[in-house]
Amino acid sequence: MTATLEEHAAPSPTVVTRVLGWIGLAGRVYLGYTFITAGLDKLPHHDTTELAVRAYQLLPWQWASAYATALPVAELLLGILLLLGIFTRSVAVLLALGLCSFLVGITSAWARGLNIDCGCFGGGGQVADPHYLEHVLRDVGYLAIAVYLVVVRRTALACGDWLFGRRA
Amino acid sequence: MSEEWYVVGLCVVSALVLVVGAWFVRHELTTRTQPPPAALLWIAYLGVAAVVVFGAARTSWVVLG
Repeated sequence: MTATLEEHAAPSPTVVTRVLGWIGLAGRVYLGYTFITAGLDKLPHHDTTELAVRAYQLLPWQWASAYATALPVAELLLGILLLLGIFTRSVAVLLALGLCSFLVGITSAWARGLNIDCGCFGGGGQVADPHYLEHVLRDVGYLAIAVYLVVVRRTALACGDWLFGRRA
Repeated sequence: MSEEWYVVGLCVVSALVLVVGAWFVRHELTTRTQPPPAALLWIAYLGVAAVVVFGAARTSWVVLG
């Protein structure tokens, strides 16, 4: 009987796993807050967001309006899910993919010699002095956090653990 | 920054992302005690791969155009 119970008992997380989980929580809160802020900054200003999207000259002209509508909503939803810790790894994969697309957009604008604002937190369009390197480094930092959340598997205080009955 | 070299770098990084993604899916399937269905993970991978390939192709076309 004892052996059966031990076989079915989930292994208790080690100190290292717990520490990594709490670091993951910090990453979740930071990245979640960042994406919620980015979504909220863009959501009420559809025309400005569309202008920012068009300034990159990457997407076909007809797609810019739909992209400008979908992007803030996606950022907001993914940010909330990340903050709450629901589907954390899947959300982190999607955010990593999104951040890669932002990095491609910014670096391609840089390579083509365009002078545009990234429009990451609202705004966008032509500017005299774009800060491409600063934006690239910032997005690489966000990407590192997203990758960490994928790799670490479990984070502390995740609502997903309670919702799906997983042991924290 | 040379536009041609930018496209070369973009293609190399995109290929690297695809390889690491495939490795990650295999790793998930072999190391997790209760992995999700293999078909589901590979379909998700193909979806991500399609986005990566489209993004790289579109950006290369625009940058070189």
